[in-house]
Amino acid sequence: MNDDQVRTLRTIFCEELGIQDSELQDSTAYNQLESWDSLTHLKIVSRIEDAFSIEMEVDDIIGMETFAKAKETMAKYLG
Amino acid sequence: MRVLGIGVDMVEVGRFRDMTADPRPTRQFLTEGESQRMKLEALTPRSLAGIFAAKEAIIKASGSAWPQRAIFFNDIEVDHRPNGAPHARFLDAVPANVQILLSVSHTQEHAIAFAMVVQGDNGNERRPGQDTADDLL
Repeated sequence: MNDDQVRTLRTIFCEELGIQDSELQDSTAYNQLESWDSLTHLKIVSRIEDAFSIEMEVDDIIGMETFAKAKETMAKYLG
Repeated sequence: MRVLGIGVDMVEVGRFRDMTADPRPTRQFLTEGESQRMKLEALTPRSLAGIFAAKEAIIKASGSAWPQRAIFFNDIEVDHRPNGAPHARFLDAVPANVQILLSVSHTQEHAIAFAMVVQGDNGNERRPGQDTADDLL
């Protein structure tokens, strides 16, 4: 992922999780933050798909359990 | 009839309010059939919250039923019977005699669903009048 793509991903996560950019770490995890529940997760996926014009596989959606994992998953789609 | 798993979920109706104006996020949890039905019927935050809670409850119930296979939102279709009682089914990938028992209720602020995944020939056959007085999905 290039810097712009990472920035876009961070913006999506921060806006949907309701946190500041400084609070978003690679280790930030699903269900660790109260705001990152299953519905928020689907909203994040929806925004990612729109922003990057991709359609994510179910296994990738389920497996995207940390921000680091999200970046790793997106790198696979974006090449 | 053998109980394979149970699940419950509760969500805030208000979190679905913006999806009536911009339904894009609904494609993550509605099947094509449900999306079509929602276009014909009123797309309300209440109905979306009901479907979401129902599917979450079913996914939780499925987790203990098939821990080795992840059931996801698009594996499940939620509908309602003519009397308004909710009804759900797995679209594929589970044995044919596996059924879902489902109950959904709402307040103005919340939707709550309880699901039971059962295996047996008559798992989803309810006796006349046995349907619960659930709110419409």
